[in-house]
Amino acid sequence: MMPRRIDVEVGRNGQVKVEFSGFEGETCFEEAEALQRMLKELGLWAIPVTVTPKTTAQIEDELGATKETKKGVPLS
Amino acid sequence: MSHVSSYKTDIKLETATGLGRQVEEDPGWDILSEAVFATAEEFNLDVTHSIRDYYGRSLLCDWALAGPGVERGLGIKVDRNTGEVAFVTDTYGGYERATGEIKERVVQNYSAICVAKALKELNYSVEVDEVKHPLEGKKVLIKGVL
Repeated sequence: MMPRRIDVEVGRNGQVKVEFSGFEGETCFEEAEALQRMLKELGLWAIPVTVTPKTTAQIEDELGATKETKKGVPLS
Repeated sequence: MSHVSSYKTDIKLETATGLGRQVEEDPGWDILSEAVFATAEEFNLDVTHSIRDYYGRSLLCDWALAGPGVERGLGIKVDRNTGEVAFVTDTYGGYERATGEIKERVVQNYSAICVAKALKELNYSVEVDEVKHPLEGKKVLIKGVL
């Protein structure tokens, strides 16, 4: 199973871009809400500006990258 | 499915006051302090608790950043009732750009610290990196793996 991964880029004035990878089904949206709740508790209100689902090709690329990584693990 | 989201952010320390406690007990209070001191180090500024206006009058703040180019200082005040965070400065005479950059960096550092802490709370292994972008200045990259 591909690991779940969140990549965040914090730009000027605190603008935040978040990429969710390796989440099945709608779980990435649940995780985004959990992250928003946690940030709010810490005093950071994150207001969504854009939400872009990944394309099938992007998801396949991610899965392909994982398979490549797995291929490289030596077996004893 | 996975996705990409972008957010605009605002700092508001409501957790402690919502529980009837002092705003200084809010988890965001220490984060804000950390963000202010990190910004001071990046811009080579001093952290104090007051700024001055054009006439030299002093105004008390929770934190204030001052130094070369921003002699009057940029103050940060947290409203004790609402938890709203305000940046205060007297920009008369052309201090807007310098104080604006410092304010942006405080907010950026605050956001980055919050994201890293939030991901750790959600049990992610977290790595933080910084890159200098030629046009957009500093960017903080945070990676969380579960």
